Amino acid sequence: MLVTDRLSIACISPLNPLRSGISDYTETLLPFLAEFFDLTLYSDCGVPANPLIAEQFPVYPVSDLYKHHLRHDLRLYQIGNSPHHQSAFEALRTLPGVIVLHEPFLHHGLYYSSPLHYRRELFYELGIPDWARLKYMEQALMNDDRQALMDIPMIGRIVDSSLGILVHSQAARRIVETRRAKSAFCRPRLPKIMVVAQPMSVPDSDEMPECRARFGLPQDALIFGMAGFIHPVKEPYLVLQAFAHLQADFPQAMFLFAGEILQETGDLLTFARDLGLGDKVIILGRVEPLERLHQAISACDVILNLRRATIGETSAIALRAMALGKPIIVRNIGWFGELPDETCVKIGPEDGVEELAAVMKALATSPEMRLRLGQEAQRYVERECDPRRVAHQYAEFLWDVYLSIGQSRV
Amino acid sequence: MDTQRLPLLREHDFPSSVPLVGPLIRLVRRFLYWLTAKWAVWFLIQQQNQINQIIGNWLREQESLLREQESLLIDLNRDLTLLARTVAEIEIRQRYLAKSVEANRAADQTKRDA
Repeated sequence: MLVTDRLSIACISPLNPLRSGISDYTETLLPFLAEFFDLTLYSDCGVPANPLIAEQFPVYPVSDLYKHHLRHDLRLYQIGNSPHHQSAFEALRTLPGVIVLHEPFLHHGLYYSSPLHYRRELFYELGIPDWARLKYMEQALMNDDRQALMDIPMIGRIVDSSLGILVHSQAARRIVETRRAKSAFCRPRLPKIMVVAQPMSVPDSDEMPECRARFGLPQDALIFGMAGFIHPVKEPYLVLQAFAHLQADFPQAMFLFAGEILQETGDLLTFARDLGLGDKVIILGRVEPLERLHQAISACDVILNLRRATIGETSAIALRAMALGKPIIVRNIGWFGELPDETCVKIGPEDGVEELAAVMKALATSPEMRLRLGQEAQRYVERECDPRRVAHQYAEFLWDVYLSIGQSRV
Repeated sequence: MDTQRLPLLREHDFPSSVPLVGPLIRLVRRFLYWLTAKWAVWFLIQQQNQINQIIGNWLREQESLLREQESLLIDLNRDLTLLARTVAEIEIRQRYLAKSVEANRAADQTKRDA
């Protein structure tokens, strides 16, 4: 008995104009996924900002899923650690489906959606109403102490209820499996888990001199950059300290922050001035649209994308820089540690200023090394992150989940 | 309110901050209190302490019940999760079977037509 129809899939995801990396992610993937499935989108974005998405797909608010759910063969949730997923968190409770878990860590997303629901999910994880633990977790949340929060990643219900889970790294897979092993909640079947690469198209890269001219950057400078949201977890202070070490040997070096500096990050410019780097550090702030961000990255020679603590996330910015043929410096931690060695430079999870300065110096000294790393990085993204390839992996997984449930005995 | 530590009512101590004669004033006040109100106040204090104790016990019982209810809700929440997943699987099977029946029917029809 063969069922060869196209499946009808309900995609629940934020979309632009909701500012989220997952909005961009979904919009990149949808046209390719539509080759395999009939897609209906459920998003609280209002009218999608991307006209191609608005024209090609029916889009409903997430609350309509409760009325429409019987129309679809499967539900596909894009879930991340942000309050943009508030309605999806709610829908998941009664209408489970296949989950794409962008980070296996949902503290901020749940808490800022609703502190009451956060409490409910925490007690779900713990199995008991532990108020002392709740206070401890809330305090850790306020201090953004990710190490303390990682102990309970708040994915219990997702692991227990979902029909399948897609993650983007082996590190994320391990976190999901560890959570599953810890669960005291007995359940008959465990969901299938698959690792798929994060889709990333290789954009038409602009020439570096043109990009530098656009931002008023000197053509002869050696530019290190950090892009995307500038959050303390990306270690901007450590990076500036290491950058200061280069000044003696590379007085023409500059540092470019191409992204919004979050409030909790503090005053980077004052810190740079204190290090004597006042005229060497340029802060662009939030760079929009995406093409302009690509130009800002293209204007740099090296992109730094460190993480002090990882929550099992992938970095779209790191992949963008790689797609643009830029050498990147990362820590050997989580997903970053899974990148092939020939595509990036890795420092150790605990390395400090000296070690970072040493690799920055090595890259500054060798244009050949930068070129080789950038080329390998671009090839890696072309090979592994091609949205068509990722959509194909999605399709295989969704069909696998659908058939394994459809053909199973009741 | 911490229901574990409800304070007991105490008699007033009638302090005086007047220098030198303060202790004397205190003594006079205490004497007048002893003469006019001590017995009635003492009786009221006993009554109020008993009432407070009853209320304290009742609050503790309610708190304990609330915690039981919360634990029960967590269990129900987990059951709901499992149930939701089972329902989702049944819906998938139902659609799958409906599609299979439709596919078979179409195939039979094609055979008959041929």
